[in-house]
Amino acid sequence: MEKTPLHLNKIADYLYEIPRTGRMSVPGRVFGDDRVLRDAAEDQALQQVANVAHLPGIVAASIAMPDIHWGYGFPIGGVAATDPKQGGVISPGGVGYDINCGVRLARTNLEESDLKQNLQKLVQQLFRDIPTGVGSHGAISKLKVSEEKEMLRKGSRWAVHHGYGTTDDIERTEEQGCLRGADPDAVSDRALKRGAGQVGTLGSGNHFLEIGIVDQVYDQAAAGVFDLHQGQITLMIHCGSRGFGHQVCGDFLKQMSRSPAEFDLPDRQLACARIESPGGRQYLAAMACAANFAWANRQCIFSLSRQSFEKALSVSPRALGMTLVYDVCHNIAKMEEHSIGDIRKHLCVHRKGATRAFPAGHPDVPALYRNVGQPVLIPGDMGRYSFVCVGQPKSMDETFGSTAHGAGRVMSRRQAIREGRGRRIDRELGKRGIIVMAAGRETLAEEMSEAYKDVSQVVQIMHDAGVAKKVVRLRPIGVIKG
Amino acid sequence: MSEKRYRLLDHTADIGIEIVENTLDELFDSAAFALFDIQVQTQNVEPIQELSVTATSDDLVGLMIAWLSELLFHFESSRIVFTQFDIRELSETHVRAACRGEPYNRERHGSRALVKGITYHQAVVKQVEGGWFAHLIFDV
Repeated sequence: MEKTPLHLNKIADYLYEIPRTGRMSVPGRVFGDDRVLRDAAEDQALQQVANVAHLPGIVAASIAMPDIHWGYGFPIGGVAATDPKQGGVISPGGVGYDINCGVRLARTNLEESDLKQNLQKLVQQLFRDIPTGVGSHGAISKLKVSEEKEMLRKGSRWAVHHGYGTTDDIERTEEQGCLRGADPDAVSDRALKRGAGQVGTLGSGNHFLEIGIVDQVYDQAAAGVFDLHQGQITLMIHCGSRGFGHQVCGDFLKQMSRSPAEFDLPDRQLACARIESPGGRQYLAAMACAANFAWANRQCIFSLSRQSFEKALSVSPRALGMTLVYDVCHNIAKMEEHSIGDIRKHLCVHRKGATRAFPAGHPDVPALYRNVGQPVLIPGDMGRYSFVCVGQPKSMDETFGSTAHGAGRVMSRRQAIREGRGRRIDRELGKRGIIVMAAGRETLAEEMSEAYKDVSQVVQIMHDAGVAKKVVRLRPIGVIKG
Repeated sequence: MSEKRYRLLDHTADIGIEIVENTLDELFDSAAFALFDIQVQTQNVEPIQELSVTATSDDLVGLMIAWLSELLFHFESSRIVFTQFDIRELSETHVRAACRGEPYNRERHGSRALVKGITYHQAVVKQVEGGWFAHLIFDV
């Protein structure tokens, strides 16, 4: 990998710049404070910000959020917009293997006291009903190819049509749960085979299903619009497009494997194709299929979870009142309108571990939230808290309408497993009132709180930078992991 | 047992491995073993089913990634866990192997880290003094 000497200049509060050097087309820009920069300098994340600045057609800057950490190709927490009119590219590595990995949050009519007796039972019921971990499958019947293709075209709408949820859920999902341009013919048979039995499954690693409580409200007005209040029980789901998306990413990285040499890129994982080329268009059509797979997946998991709540707590749907607040994707590339100076441009915005954060008034924010802005869901680690924020106008000026997506790891998985040796993470969390169930014990060590940055610091930086404002904080009380 | 065949590296978000073997055949064999050992309890896998797996690419690094990606595809689509890899043909651009294992069973094989993809980031496959070396990062 090319080693560009990195000097960071502070250009504003919470914003640092890596000046353009060598073959970088634009500078790098990192949102953070001293601590974020120190952590990022310890691995190769800052170098990756500089590497992304080499992509053909990149505009303004290669941007990183304060949850930046070392990924592959792009850093995690990376945002890059490319202009198709300037030979801009689409890079599968700038989306990631888990295409449309994302988060959805549901609110309920329940309060903490409603779960006192039944929390354990509820966690066990969710763990039974939602397949997790390596090799998980069979949440719903394995799809025939024709059905799977229909699902890839329609996303959340397919799930709702098959009885998993309601049309209200669709309105409260980014892109209404269906990315335009999805073409199942752009996808390999291998991707179809790999995904056919995996709809409704969570996967492994940092994916989770979390029962939480609203334990702090920062913005009463926005919380009210999102139908959230102090003491309320919520459900958060974090997962993506499973093996289907992983296969799509792998297939296209192979297909584009000659591009790093062609474009003189510093990392093979930055393989890409011009947006206005047959290869680029095919990837966008396949990626949209994977995005729709992920939305159908989260929609099914949400619907199955709602049934688990009703069963475990013996409550009616009306009494439970579980409705979707919002669903965001944080591994995606989308064609969006943005202003560069005074010029409106149609750009391809890569968000690799970054969340869209459109402000009030933006036409893509659902009508019911348009007066306050788009809900932004930022999960933390399983022992501390997660946040709901709301997009602010500055996001459109500074980050192509994007903010952070999570806490960001500080410890490698191997180091976390080493630290976790001889400890029972589930019992430690249990003593703090958090019931955790996981398919594998190592996952609990990998995912322990200490392995992550404190998400409140990440969220505070973007709040202070005027990109996404804090609305409420959620405290976990029940967690399902892969 | 398992970790003798590969070394886990510290990578903040993902899993890195390094392998050193005497021959290129052994390198491909051990990399495949590592892919499954990261995901399941390989000591409990019986080699009762066999599948012929082939992969092609333009160069050796690409071939290693294509080979492991192909195994990952078979694991997720057929749900077979492989632990033995008899490399029958191997060149810079082509590999064919008889892979042996058994259907995945959660009770016996457990659930470790699910590998999503084999990345090109810092991927190295090269001849070194006295053998072959690979450095790979898996997205998990």
